[in-house]
Amino acid sequence: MFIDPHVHMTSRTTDDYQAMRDAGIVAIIEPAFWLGQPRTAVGTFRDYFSSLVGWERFRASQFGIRHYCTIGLNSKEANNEALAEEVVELLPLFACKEGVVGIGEIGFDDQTKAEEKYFRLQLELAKELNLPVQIHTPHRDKKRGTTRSMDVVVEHEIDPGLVIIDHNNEETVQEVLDRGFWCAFTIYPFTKMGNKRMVAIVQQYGSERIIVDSSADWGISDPLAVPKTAGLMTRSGISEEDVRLTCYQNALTAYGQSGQMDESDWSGSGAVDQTQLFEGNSVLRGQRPESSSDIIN
Amino acid sequence: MSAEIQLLYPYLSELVYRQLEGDAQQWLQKKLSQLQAQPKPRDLYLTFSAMPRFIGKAPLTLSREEIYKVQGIRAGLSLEGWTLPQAARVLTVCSYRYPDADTFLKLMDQLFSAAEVSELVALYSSLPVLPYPEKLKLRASEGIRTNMSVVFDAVVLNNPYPVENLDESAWNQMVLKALFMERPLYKIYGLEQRSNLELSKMISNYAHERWAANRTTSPEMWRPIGDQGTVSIYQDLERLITMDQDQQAAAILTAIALNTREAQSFLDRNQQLVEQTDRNKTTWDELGKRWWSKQNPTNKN
Repeated sequence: MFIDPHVHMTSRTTDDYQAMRDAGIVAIIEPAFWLGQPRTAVGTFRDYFSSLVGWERFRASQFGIRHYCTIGLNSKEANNEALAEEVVELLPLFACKEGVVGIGEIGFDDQTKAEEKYFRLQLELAKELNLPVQIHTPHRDKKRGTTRSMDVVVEHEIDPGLVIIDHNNEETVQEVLDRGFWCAFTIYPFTKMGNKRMVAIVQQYGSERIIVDSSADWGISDPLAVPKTAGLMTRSGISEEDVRLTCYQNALTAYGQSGQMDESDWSGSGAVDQTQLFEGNSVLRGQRPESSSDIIN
Repeated sequence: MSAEIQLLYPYLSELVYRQLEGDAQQWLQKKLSQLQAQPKPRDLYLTFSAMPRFIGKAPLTLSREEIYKVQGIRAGLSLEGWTLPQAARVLTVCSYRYPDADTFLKLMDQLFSAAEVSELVALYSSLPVLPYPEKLKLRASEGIRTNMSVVFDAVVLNNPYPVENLDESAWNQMVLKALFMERPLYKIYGLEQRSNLELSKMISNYAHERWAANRTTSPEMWRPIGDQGTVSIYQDLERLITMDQDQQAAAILTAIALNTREAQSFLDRNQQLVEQTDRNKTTWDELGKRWWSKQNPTNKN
């Protein structure tokens, strides 16, 4: 069983869902992010948030995968202040919905003043609602950006145990762990971590508070990054327990603090809404191949 | 409150409260009486949204008799398969004292436009008990247009709203979409009551399309035709009797409902099948149930 706690399914196909399920992914978290180009109206944000708690959750359920999300204004689009102002007003409408496991992904991109302003505003919202926070660290000037993100969190007196710092690398891991935050690594070809490097990290730092995710989106990325990395860890002699912690349990423990994510959601009998979503709708209605002649070869 | 909910409200409250622990019960009671006494939009949104956090996600437990009793109060409404937060959310939107139709519509638009899946289900299942039902026709059509089958079911199945409010073309689209999404027609309230020639043509064409692609058709798909058959329906009946026993029974039940001279002669020519259907006491409901349990072995539909 795996959890991918950072994957943008809105940009992925049903083949991906199928493959993820086959590879053992039982639950995913889709952070609210940008869509590759900046939006120009608040209505597009509303519809995006609404699709994260609606259509995408339903789509995932058809493949037997539980879909959760985080809600927030990403750092890139925080730079359009007029729009950002309207978007932060929307957030309380969505932040308390069923299946919303945190505020995210928020933080810095270019590390501008506007980014900092909306980062802080959203940290306050998370604090008020007692929700976990998922932090996107910048690609450029990463090390300083990561330190600064944590400084801001501490300034707002938020417990680091409620905060997941994402997109870490060899340069940032030590400080993030030392300061008591959850330390997530994105296995993403070219721009982020490769999975051999991930294995080395776990060999060096162990599994406490370390989380693996894919951040698969509309770029060249891999929605099977978590199970593939788990496989490589196992083959490299990392213990079963360390693999379980980094590729399943830590994400559940961190985001489970929202009260919105529980193992019984996908295993066990307590999952009523799961029954509703899953059993009545085990496959795509009206689109299910009925006979072998319907399957496209 | 609408007349319907005035009758149903106390009973539905009773069914919900008896399943709640002290704290959850008090929380809900307090919130609902707040919405009645001092209606504030923010309280409505928050109470509606926060429901599972306070009262959990358990199914609404009901006996057969209790389900019938609800149907006695509000014909066509079945609480079968409802959850506790769903029922409590229905109570929530009904508790609010709306000053006028415009305010009502504005609040509904807010709730619908930010709703997650379970909230959508609750909102659509409250259609038949909300005030100003005529104001929600467009909303209902939107619910029918969805591809989320749980949401579609909430509008279409076990719900008297469509038969009471949809015009003929919206009704016909709904029935066809239910067939297309493989939803059980026998759970649509008022199916035969709304039969019409246009729908019969659509059903017949849909069957031909499926047959041309070597796909199966549900025997209950002929049920909405009622006594509104087109001239070509008899060719379809001839084809159905070459299929399995349930499809044959569907042909016989369709001919009986058509109640025309041609239908009678079809029945006369197929006396054996009429007897077989008679002997098995086959009904449309049974054909539907059997078909759906065959399609979804794990499903309780």
